[in-house]
Amino acid sequence: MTVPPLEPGTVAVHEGLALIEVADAADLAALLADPRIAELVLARIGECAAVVLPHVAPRLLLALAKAGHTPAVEGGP
Amino acid sequence: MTDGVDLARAILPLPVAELQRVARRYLPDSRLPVRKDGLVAAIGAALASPERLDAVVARLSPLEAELLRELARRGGTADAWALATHAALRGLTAEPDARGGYAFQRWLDRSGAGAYLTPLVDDGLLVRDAGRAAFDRRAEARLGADPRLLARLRPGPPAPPTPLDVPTLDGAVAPVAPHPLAVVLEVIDAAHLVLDLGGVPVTRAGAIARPFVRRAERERPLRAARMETLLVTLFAAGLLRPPAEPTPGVPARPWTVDREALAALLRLPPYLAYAAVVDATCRTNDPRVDERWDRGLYGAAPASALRRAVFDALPALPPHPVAVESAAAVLWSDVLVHVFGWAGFVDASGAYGRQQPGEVAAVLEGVCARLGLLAVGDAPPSVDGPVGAAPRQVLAPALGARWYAVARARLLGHAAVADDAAELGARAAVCASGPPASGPTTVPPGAPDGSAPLLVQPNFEVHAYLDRLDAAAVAALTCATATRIDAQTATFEIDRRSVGRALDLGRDVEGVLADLRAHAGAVPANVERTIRDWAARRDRLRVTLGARLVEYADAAARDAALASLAGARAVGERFALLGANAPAPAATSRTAITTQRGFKVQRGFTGRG
Repeated sequence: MTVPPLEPGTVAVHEGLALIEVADAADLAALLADPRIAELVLARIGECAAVVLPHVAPRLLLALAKAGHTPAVEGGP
Repeated sequence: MTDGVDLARAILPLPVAELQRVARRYLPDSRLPVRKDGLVAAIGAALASPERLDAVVARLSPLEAELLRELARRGGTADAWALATHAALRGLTAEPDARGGYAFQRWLDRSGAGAYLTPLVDDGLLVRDAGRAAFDRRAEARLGADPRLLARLRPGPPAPPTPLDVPTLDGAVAPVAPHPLAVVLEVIDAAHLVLDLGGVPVTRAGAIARPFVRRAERERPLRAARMETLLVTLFAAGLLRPPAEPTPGVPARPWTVDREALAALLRLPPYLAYAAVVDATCRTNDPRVDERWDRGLYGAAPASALRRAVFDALPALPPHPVAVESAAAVLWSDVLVHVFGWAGFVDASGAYGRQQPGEVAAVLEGVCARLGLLAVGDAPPSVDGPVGAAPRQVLAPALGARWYAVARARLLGHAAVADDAAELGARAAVCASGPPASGPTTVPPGAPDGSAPLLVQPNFEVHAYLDRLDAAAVAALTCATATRIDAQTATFEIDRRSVGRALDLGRDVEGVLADLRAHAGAVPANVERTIRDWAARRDRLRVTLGARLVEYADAAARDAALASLAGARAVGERFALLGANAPAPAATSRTAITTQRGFKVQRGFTGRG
């Protein structure tokens, strides 16, 4: 689930992803420990951040709600 | 000056014979040019002359004058069916037009609406919006008139609709109808549900995805039967916005709630919000009516035009309870047949083209009842009626009809002094002076006399008294989910998700609590404490939809680039999150950047082309 590194000097732009950010690394670990949420996450891009494919975002929000989380949701298509 | 359609431009494609007819209307006493350019110039000169236009206005028949004045009140353009209904409701009738022209759509040349409007189109008093209606019989038939002509008309409110003479049903008890605000709250709650579920997925065929409908029905079991209609109403009301352009190979993203449109709806006084919902429902397909109407004799007109005509005719119904079949019959014979009927069609007597369709009664006892425009119920059994006969359906105008009539009058420029919105109920007229996010906008209702519109219970339930709700109180309910909406009251529940939704819509936790206090008088301490706790926990988890991330080889490269990326911030170990409208980095070489809108999973992450 980690991101393979880019070649030095290269840059990639990823558009339309859903970005999950938490206040503490333990919070992300707890989230990813829930298989209903972990299966939707594309990659962990830091201690406190992970990304989800665009079309999976609605399922992610639903899974978070079912797990009792009410994230602050920003942006949109 | 009202908007309208420039007649001088609209006549340019016309042949000489048609130009001569227009010229005869605008220059009846002049010797007309023979050539086309001369006719165009003469008509243009007449349009530029207030004296000429005053003379045209002076020669208008009562029907022509009323149609043009109504067009002016509506801002210069209007739907043709609605315009014809306006005239028919005021006892103005038009002779069937026996000509076989194509001034309207393919089929409408001999319809009632065509009889009203085609002669005015031929004379240049009305102008078709041909771009949309020319050869598509399903398109809305819009009409306009030249603003210079409309400006010469004497302004004023229209005459009220001629009352319809429907026999009283002796002994009938007025049935109960949904409160208009119950109808509004159902639509707002459906929008909240869409927010909670992340949007409405739409199939390639343009239908709402069935799994989503089923999920929504499970979320709101008491409104499951109406859920699909409510969701479609959100589209018709403009409360949903389409996703960004589709990407080949990537599943379509859902339609999402237009938060600005929802906030605008919440700012409206309740009677105007109700009218917006009714108008949206008018455009919403009703399978029990639309399919039969479309296949029937009068299907050249869209079913939405029938609904619009029935809604506009409601003020003409008597205030006392009447039988549904009687109301439908009189409504058809006195009003609707003049708009949708086909005089002279098939047989010389015209009886075939005047027969009453069953859809009129279906609209009355269906959508009108559901929207609270009419109260519909069973009449008490008649002592002299046949034994075992099915009970007769009875209807009577409900509060919604009054709200809607006043709102329409106000929106269409018909409002008179007598249409004071205060008649609608103490709270219906109150308009929030600013967006809900700006704080409580009405005087706190004052709990001591029991007039508070909301009551917050320690078990997190909120009871709303519909007669007391104003716009700000409805907006305060954004932090709660409607669990039950009855005729006069509604019950909401505050939970973690509903509080999160209110915060997503731009209210902070103090604002949420202030709104509840303002309209409920007090909020139980345990409820207030829990809401604060939910808000604090919510701040620890954030999801950004549609994020644009720039990936670098390492943190040093990312940090070095951040300074040149306006509005960007560092995310994770070596990523930067771009601002919403910020351009992607341009300084990097094109070969080094892969901008992708489709994402293939590759080595555990997105493919990079």
